Amino acid sequence: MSSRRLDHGGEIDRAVTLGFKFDGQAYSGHPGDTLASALLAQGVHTVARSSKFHRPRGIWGAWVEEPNAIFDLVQAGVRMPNCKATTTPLAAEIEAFSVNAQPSAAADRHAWMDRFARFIPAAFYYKTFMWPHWHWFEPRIRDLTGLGRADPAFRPNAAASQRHATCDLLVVGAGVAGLSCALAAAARGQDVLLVDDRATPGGMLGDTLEPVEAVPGPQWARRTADALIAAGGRYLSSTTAFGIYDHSLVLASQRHFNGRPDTLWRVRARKVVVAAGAIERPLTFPDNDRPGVMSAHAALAYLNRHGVLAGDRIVVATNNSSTANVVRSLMAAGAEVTIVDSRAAAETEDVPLHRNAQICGVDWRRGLRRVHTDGGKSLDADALLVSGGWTPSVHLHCQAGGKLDWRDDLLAFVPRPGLAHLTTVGAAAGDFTLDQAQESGMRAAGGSPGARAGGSSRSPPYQVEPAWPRLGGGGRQWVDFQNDVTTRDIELAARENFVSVEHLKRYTTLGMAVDQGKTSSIVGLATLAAIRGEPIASVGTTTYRPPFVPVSFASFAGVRRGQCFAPIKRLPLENVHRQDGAVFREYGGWLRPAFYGNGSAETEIQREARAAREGVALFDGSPLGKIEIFGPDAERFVDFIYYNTMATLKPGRIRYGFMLNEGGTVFDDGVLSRIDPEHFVVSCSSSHVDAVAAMLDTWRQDQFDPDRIFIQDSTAQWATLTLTGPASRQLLGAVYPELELHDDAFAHMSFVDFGSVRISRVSFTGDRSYEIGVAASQAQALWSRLKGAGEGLGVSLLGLEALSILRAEKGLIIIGKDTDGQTMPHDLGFGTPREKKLGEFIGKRALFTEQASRPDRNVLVGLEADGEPLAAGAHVVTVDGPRRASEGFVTSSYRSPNLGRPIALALLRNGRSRIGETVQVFHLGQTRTAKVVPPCALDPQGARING
Amino acid sequence: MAEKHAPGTTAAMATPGYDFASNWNPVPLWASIHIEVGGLSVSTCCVPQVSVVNGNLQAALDAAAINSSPVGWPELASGDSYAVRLARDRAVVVGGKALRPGWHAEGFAVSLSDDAGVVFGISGSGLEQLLSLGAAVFIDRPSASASRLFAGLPVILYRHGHETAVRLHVARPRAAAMLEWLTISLAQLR
Repeated sequence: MSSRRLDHGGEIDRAVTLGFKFDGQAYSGHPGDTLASALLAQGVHTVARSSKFHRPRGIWGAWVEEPNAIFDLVQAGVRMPNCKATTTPLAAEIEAFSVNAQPSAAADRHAWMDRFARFIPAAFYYKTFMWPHWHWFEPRIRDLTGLGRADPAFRPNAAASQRHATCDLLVVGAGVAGLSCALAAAARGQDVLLVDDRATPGGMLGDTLEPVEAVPGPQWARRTADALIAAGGRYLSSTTAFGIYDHSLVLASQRHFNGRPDTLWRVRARKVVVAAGAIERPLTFPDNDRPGVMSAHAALAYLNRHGVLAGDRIVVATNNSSTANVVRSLMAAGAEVTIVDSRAAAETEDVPLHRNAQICGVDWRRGLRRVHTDGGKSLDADALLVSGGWTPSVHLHCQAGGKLDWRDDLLAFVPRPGLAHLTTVGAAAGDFTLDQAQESGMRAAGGSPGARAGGSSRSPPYQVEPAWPRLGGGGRQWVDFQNDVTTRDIELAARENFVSVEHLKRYTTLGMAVDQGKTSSIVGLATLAAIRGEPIASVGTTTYRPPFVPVSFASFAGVRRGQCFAPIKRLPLENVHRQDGAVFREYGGWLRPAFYGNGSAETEIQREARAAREGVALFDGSPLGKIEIFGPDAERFVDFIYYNTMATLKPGRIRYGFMLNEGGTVFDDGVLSRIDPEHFVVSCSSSHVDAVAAMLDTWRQDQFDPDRIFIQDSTAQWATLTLTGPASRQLLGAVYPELELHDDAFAHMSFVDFGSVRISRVSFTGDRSYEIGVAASQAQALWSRLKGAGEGLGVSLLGLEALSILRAEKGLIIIGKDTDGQTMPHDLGFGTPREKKLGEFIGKRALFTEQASRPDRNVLVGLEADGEPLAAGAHVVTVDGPRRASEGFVTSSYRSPNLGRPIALALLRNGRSRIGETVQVFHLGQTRTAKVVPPCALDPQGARING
Repeated sequence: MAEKHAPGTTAAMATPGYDFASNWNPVPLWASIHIEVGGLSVSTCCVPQVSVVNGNLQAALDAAAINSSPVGWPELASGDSYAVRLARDRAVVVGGKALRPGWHAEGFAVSLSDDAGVVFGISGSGLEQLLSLGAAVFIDRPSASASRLFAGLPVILYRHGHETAVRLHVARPRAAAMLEWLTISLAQLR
């Protein structure tokens, strides 16, 4: 192949030269070039190595169909993998690197692998690297293959924009069909959005320069796009609609090529018209993957768009009529052209023609030398341009749930009409001639094909005859260039009974990865059909998956990075805690103080836990759920929601209870306050608020009269500041001197409301405690008052870590930490409602199953061990020789500063009857002994609650 | 408490003394937020009296002396007293006669919500583009409910005052995340 730049033609600016590098070598091109055209213009033909055999590969296509020229690009210090040279505009100082090649595509040190090709057929990896383990081999194999390398240091310079759009009509593709459709619809008053993957409108008109309505194609396209905008339509260039999803949501990627991250568009259209065109497919013959063998249409595109001639002695091999324009254009550009046409009735004028002939081999040595026909002819050639027919781009149609029909006259699958919101037109629907494409576009817009201005000269009809792969022949014939799949691989798959097209795909990798079968699918299906002895239509197709073209992860992420990635919930007092020296961690989706102070975590946490038991501690419990339940049926509702009886709860009182799921396992725990007969407040776990609120509303709507019960999550409205410890009553009295705090007047598990403050006597530490609920905006003032009034009492600040120790000392649980997906309330020592509650409640039935009644269930116990605390997650095991069997696991484990020893909670099989038993606890190869004890390790009589 | 790893890395965050606060900007003073980019401005609004009512909405609005119907999208709320519909039987009431929190015999419940959220006022040219970055919010796609997911967060969004102005209610715990999103998105519109 001796491709070269012509001194005329193409849409390039020859006055400006752009320097770039490929595999370390310096080259140049012009504005208007792609990387591919610039390389071809300078005679660079080997641009990649194949993924498995490391065979040299050249540029095959001219746009998104390109299977070989996939580069890693470095531009302005940013490395981007998986960039197609055919769709990447040339820019100054761009540096491109071939893939699957070390050190370069031209001189790959792994080229020897092709000599061993017979030993590495399809599924070689699956069969060979099973023993001793695939992961032993994986790193080296991955090093040898792949479509580029991600740069671990890469950080997008800005967040990619993601935009939503709506329209009456979304037209995908600005070729003749798409433009005609869009303009006709806009003229009828529809809100039209036209997206197209190229920088300028026209689609293949820019490749062929064919006239439309007596105007040169590109000029007609620009004029039509301008008319569309004038009619109120919108046009997005360089934008690929790469996938269609539920409810006709179309995702499109808009490229900017100026360093700005690509924009992701989410388009919701009332109707979608797909005018995505068609892709030329290769012919199969031995060594059809050699550099210098190129799509005939691609050669036409390079000539007309970039002024690049594919060769001087060109053989055009075809089975269809679409190459006539290619031949005329190449000859006009000065090339010597010979046609090898498999059709017996092929005709041409003034061009050497070999009818009823096919290519059966090529001579290639660092470039194409000769091609051989099955008629025994050998033809000198430096470029072999092939056309095996056209494959409509049906990806979006199929993603939308559309079916396909096989057309023998086109040798292609075309979309079956009938989708409610999506119509396919133009070449994507099998309308391959200009007239057909324009007419189908207009019809889809509800326009009349006869309304075309000026009219076009009628295009010659498209004719194609089969030239499918010949099975069993010599040499390797490539079906899928990108995944290195040959006809032999398909034959092997069939011999091993992988005859379903989906199995074939997975066995051979045919049509996988970014190629998604653009050039390979029909040839692969035809090969399988021949092996099965069935028509292609009965073989079917594989699934067309989005994205149609590679889309950057940055584009999918959008602004969801940094602090916008999974944003955490923030406390109203967060800045106060920062000033107080809090060290924060994330708990259940909230950023909360773990502990306060500058010492080590262990020191400060132990100090806080000790101080809370000795005096009074102040804790920010604002994330605790505050879900209000209102209405005449609220009492009946909470009695059904809770495992415990709640109907008897009096106004002003509080009760602890569990919520179960329908399987009887514990969903959440917490306290319920009854404000008045028709008003309750559920105080659920901090991290479960959203889930509990959703669960409550589900039962409200499904099981009750939703007009008599109402649920409102008011968690964000209220801050909750907690005082705990023996001096908590004293501190509360100092701040609220008007309150009667005697235990008879303000008993444990009751609350008082005054003004906009609600004070509840509940405890998660086992000590006397008060939870003060105030509006969030008042929290800072109250925090300051409590701290100030507590100075004389030695008030300390309490973080989550110390609180966890305090509650564990009392054997109080945290849902999700001390329970698992099988824990039922009687496993936690709360068996009375199960035995005595008469009314219905969620999960009741499940509490009486055989499984729920097993005597050897895992139940909550305490564990005592000497030395360091046991590891949370460690398993209690039985040992039988070399075998260990789990009998449960440690759920919480701490060093208790108040007991002066480690404490632990565990879920242990049949644990309640094993109190006093010594068990073995295994963790990371170490086995320790521990004693099974009751969960409550401190103040089992509960005297401290009123202490 | 010396950090042995780079802040924000997984290894650093696994150390017991690592302060996760370094991953997040401090919560701003909400009263002072004002960002202006081009002709588009974002400010926090002082909305002194906000309640959520559940149940018989008409009875609640009558009690609150709100004369207009609750707005959805893209209806226009105006003034200091109005209601915004969230669901068939749920609305936010702004201003009007103060309602006692709790259950009312007329068949509605009132929950205080003055402090539950931060209200952003967004107005100016480019508003539609900004909204299109956050959700499929379009004038020609109406919704009876003003409650929606915007920028990945649950919000209440409605037009207020004039056609190029909206109010965006965000739950207070998530307001910092919304401000971060607005700041980045406004920069994208430059």
